[in-house]
Amino acid sequence: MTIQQVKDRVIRVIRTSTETEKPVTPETRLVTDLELSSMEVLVLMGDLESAFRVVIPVSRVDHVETVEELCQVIIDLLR
Amino acid sequence: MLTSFAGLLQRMEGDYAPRTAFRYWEDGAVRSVTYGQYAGDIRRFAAWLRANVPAAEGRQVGLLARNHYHYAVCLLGILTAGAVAVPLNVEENWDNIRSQIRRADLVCLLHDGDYLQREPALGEAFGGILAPLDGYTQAEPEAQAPARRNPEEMAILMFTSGTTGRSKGVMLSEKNCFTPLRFFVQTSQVNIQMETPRVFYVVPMYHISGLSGLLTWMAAGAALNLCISMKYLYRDLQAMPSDHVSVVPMILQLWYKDLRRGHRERLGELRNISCGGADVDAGLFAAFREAGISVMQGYGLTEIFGGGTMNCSTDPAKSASVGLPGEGCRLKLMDGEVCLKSDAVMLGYYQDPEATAQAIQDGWLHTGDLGYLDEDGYLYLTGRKKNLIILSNGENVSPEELEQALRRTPEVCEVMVGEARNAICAEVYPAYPRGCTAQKREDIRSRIRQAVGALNGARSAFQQIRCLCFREEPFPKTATGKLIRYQHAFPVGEEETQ
Repeated sequence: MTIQQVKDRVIRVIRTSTETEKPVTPETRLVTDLELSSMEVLVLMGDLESAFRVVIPVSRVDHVETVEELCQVIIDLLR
Repeated sequence: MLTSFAGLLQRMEGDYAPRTAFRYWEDGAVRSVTYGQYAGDIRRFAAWLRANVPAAEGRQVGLLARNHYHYAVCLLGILTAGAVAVPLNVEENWDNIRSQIRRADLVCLLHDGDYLQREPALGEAFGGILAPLDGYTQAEPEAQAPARRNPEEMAILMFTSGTTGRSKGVMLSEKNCFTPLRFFVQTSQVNIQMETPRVFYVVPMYHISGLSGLLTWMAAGAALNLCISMKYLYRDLQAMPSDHVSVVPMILQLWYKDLRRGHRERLGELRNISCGGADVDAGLFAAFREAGISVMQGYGLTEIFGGGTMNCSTDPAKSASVGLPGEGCRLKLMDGEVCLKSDAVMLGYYQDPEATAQAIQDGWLHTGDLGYLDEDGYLYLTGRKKNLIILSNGENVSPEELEQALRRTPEVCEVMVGEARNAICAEVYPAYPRGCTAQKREDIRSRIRQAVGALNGARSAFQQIRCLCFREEPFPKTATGKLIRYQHAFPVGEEETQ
């Protein structure tokens, strides 16, 4: 899977998981822009784990702000 | 009714032995454990503890881990071995955890590796007492009778954020733990109309509502379907069908969204929800009732083993109430402050007689919460006398702790931390020098943003300052120079930090 394919899939999962009607781009901030609660962020992590067959330690996303940063966490876990 | 941990273990080995105690997802499938097997593992833990920490009886043993079957084994193992369980909050920042571990004088700290991975300093500071949470699995079960402990001495030490910068250690005895159990069990059984419902377990075991819930349902011999992380909430609700769950408001809000979007199926077979730990919006309950799910709101504190009141009324007019006090618990209002008295009131605050004397007077626990009673004695909460932020995930955050940290930044002249839009918010009056330029002011604000970022960098997601705003004038103050907090409105929307 290329980096761009990973990013595209992350964005698709975010849209499906959160059912957001707001635009989702790499610059989108999960909490500030999508107004996700910390519980919703964790549920999203569960959906990303299923989509990519990885385990995302909760502490890896404590300081993730943007979609781009979230993509980087997934990319690092896939390597 | 049960009155001791030793008695609970006996019940698990007797009448409850063949019943399912826990289910949880492991390696792609649901694993099931009976009470008999669970009791055997508790005895394994006792043997492991005796062999590895010989002086543990009467001493403090910490737990720093996320929910897991092993956690439940170690917790009951510590308690039946006569030691003191000290469940620590894995979301807590390192400074606070380090302080709590030292203050608690732990002889052993059981962990799952997660905190150590993100904070290697834990190993450097406490490597000598660290032990794996699943270490007991290699031991043979201990045959000897569990320790008979003094029911009035400390059995559990639980830290809770206070109104000052330092957290307070709540000392709970065995008697405190078993006093409200009948009330907890009976109210839930009446509402669900099942003696042994399938209980979905998702709140953290290191939180008082999780700990009291665990004991409650084990005392009733019910099956606990463990959801070890919110990441797996929906997977586990489907994989482990359940009738009842206890949640914090943030989860209720999540499910409310699901119901509004037509996703009733995501809640599986749930029929009853109890909710507490923070203010609940009773306006959500109607949507759950329409979906065939009753919601009970409760109110409790760590200081009274999670007990207090429970609203089991089906009258919609009373849905905003937190209900009536439990059996054996008396409630009164003193100057509008809720005060509670029962055998579940804590022994006191660990090594803090002054705070204990302020909190407990003539056996009455002064909760710091304000409220009123209706003509039927139902309690309605109206506010907090104590200066504490309670987020909708049940986490308590001390504003003073954050304010003290931010005041160390020279560019911060005055700061107030509070809650806005269910998030931690900080409003700062910067230390602008007289006559400074607009650029200089922006530079100062930029350094303050960096300081907030650095503070957040050391805290878990739940405890970060999400909103930062600046003011142009000093805060209004009292005659003694204290910032006036009462009804302060944070100007959210004017600036937000990442």
